[in-house]
Amino acid sequence: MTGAVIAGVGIHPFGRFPVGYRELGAIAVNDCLADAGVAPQEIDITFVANVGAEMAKGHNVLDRIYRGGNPIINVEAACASSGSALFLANNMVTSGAADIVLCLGVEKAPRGFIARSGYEQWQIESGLGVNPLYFAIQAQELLQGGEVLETDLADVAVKNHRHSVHNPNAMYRKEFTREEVLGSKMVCAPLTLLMLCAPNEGAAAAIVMTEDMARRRGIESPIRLRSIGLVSRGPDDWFVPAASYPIERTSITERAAAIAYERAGIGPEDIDVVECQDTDAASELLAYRDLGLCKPGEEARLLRSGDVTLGGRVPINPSGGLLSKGEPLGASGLGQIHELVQQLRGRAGMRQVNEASIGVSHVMGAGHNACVAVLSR
Amino acid sequence: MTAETLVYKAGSIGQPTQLAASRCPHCARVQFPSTASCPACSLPSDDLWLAGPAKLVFATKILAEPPDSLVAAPYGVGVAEFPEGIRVIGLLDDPPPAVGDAVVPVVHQPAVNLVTFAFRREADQI
Repeated sequence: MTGAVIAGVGIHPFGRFPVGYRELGAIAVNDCLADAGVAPQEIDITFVANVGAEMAKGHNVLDRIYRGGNPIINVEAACASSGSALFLANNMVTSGAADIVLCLGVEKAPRGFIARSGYEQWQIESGLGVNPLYFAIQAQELLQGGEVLETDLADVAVKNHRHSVHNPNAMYRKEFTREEVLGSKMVCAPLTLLMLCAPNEGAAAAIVMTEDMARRRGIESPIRLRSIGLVSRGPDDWFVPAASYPIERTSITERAAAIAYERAGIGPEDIDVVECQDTDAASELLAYRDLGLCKPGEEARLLRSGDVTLGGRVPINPSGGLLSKGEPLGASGLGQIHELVQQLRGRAGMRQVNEASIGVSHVMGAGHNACVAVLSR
Repeated sequence: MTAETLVYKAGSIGQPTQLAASRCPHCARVQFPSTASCPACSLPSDDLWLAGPAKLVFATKILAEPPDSLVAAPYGVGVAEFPEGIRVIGLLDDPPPAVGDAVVPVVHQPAVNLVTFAFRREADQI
């Protein structure tokens, strides 16, 4: 097996735009190809992650750039869609089946509740098909544990919004105070509006190639794609849209992280920077323990220590996270990869993490899917 | 509404009901709604009816109804922990029970064209 690198990344900012998903995707792809110095004719295979668009979405995006006849495969795994696309790209490259693979994540999500998350008809009619309800259950459980306070939930949003001020690709680039977060509209107790991310629009792309290919092409700062752990629902997991869950349940993120860390030969103590699935403030706190960054029950202590803030030991979501960027479902994972590549190249500007050499991305979505990727300089 | 054929025993509005679950004879895992086979073992499951009383471990209010909901917001939703070892998400009856209350599933009509189940405080049983 050969190693895989990320030779280039591209992005269309996340937000709301008066153009279609095809235009959003094409901008991210062109940005990515220019960054990697790759011509569209050189791409062996393309994986396109998207949740809500039409049939042959990837084909329709790529048609705006080049119609070369090589395979285009569309990938859907809810919020883990582009993590799954990257997983496939990594496998193609490391197995020798392809030299250059393009991954694109693109989304133009409608405003309001995310519909069609897989609920049964009786759940939908009974008003139980509400994703924030699931996040609220997790949040209340954290609060019931006694260590996490509502102010901690607010402070996750405060931290990420503070980070986002320096990210030109984020939808919200404004700081909020703890009081503003707690005082924003209640969505599903204990989660207020500013503790939840907004589904939105955007695109992100990455070119994955073999290490040999990157060397031959003289790519100056390829980022190594050290490993990916991709996991789907297990018998004791709980997830959107399950109507019930076991009292003792397992963590899909923990399993994905264990695979990723083992394959990369690292431990959580080696990580310098993390982009994690902060769909809501409680989800970020749960990711701290599930990614092994703290012990269960110490999530709030880690947050309060300042270690996960820019300037701290292991900054989490220096991009501003989904809470600030918004979540274009199919693009969010590659958006994280875009951020980590900038961080590991040392080109993240005002949000640069000092001497970042190992970065971890984490996405988790309805269904249930989780993807943890380890990148390094 | 098709819920009664899938997830609870039909009955009169407001009367106690039972939720249609299943239990694996091999590993004893409980599923709600019932599944024909156990997701852990893939062996055939046995029927199991959840009657409670259960303990309400979570409660919140939905303030804006999601797409295609027949129930108009605001309405209460909770999670009930059954002694069989499973937590079930369901609507809350009126008056809504609080976290820590003992609850039972009852047949519930939250809208003219919808009959489903909800959790009622055991002490409020008619």
